[in-house]
Amino acid sequence: MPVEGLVAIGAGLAVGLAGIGSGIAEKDIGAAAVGAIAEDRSFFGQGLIFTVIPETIVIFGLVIAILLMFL
Amino acid sequence: MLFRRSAGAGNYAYATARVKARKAFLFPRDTYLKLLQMDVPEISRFIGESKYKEEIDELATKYSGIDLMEYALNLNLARDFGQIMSFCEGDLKLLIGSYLNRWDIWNIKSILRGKSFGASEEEIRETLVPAGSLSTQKLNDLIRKGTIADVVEGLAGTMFYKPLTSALDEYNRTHLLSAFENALDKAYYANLMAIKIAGTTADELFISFIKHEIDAVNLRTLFRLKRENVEHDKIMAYMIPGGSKFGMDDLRKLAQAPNYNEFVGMLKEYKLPEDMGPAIQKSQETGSLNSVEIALRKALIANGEKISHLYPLSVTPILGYIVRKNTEVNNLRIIARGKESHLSDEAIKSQLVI
Repeated sequence: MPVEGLVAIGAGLAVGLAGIGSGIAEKDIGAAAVGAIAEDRSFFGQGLIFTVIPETIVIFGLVIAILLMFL
Repeated sequence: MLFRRSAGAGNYAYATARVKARKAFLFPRDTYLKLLQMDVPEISRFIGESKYKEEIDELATKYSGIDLMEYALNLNLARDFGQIMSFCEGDLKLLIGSYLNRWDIWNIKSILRGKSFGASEEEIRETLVPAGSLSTQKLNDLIRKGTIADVVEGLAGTMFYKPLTSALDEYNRTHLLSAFENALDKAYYANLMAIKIAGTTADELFISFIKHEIDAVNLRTLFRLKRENVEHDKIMAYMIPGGSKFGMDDLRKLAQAPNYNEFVGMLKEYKLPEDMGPAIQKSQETGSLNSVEIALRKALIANGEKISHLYPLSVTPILGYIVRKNTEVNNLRIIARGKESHLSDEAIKSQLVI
């Protein structure tokens, strides 16, 4: 198999696994945020911010994928 | 752990976040002190402008004054617990539902008492708090039954049927409602102790809280009955098995104490909550068990509060909230009733659990 193929698989894994990881992390945070918003709407902004914090992990994965593909 | 928790065990993150948001709306301690300075109409207005507004507005056409406040508080409590039950799932729902069965017991006891003293349907209905598993419809059906035996029959298919039917014989002999009440309490705690779930540390804490409660209930019964010099065989019939510090052997030993003073002396061997010492002393000075019962309740609530902070994603924060909410409603009721009866601020304050 040419090296490019393995690099592409590596890049895919980096984004995919990072996505699964942040999904697991966001699951409980999102549920809790929706629960808090259901009781008090003023939690909306804070809840949204806390929910997307684990998204940063995907950005790391994406950075690795870009490094692999283009450098 | 992460995956097992999410595989249908319960929606812990969602439920605890909702309950914690609700907890933020509970009255702070200062509010009770502020309420003590007010008179009944002012208290009524204060509650009417708080989170109890909806219930006060709803019942305002039917009741007024202190009755309105009492019914609104009960209705709010029932709705609040009903909502908690509706958004809990899986094991969480099982645990909370079993705990909230206490309101079923409360309602069944009220109906039985009402039937035994010939109270009207409306009078019985007013004492009910439909926060348990029995629906309002079912409770209304039970209220319409003519006799105590019919009420018991009406509960066929629920967990209360078996203990009630076995207590029916004793009731027919003695005509004392304590036979039913005792059987219901025992069945309630036996049901809670028999819950079979995966069992995390937090769930164990929940069970330990129940065990503490059994201790508190048993001790309260012992204090009351020993003071009346009831025979030990009769006392033992009222003891609920499953306590943490006081096993059945300990309880038997305490029940066999020759008199009340010796019984109090024997209690020194056990590690009691801190406030109990002074409370027992005060009760011996005043001749009233009030201080002891309040100290027991305070210790239990403090325990509930403590465990509610230990495991954020578990049943304990919800249990802590239920205990706190119940205390709030009780305190408001005590203040309102006390003010109406023109009790002194000090007397009312001594009844509050703050």
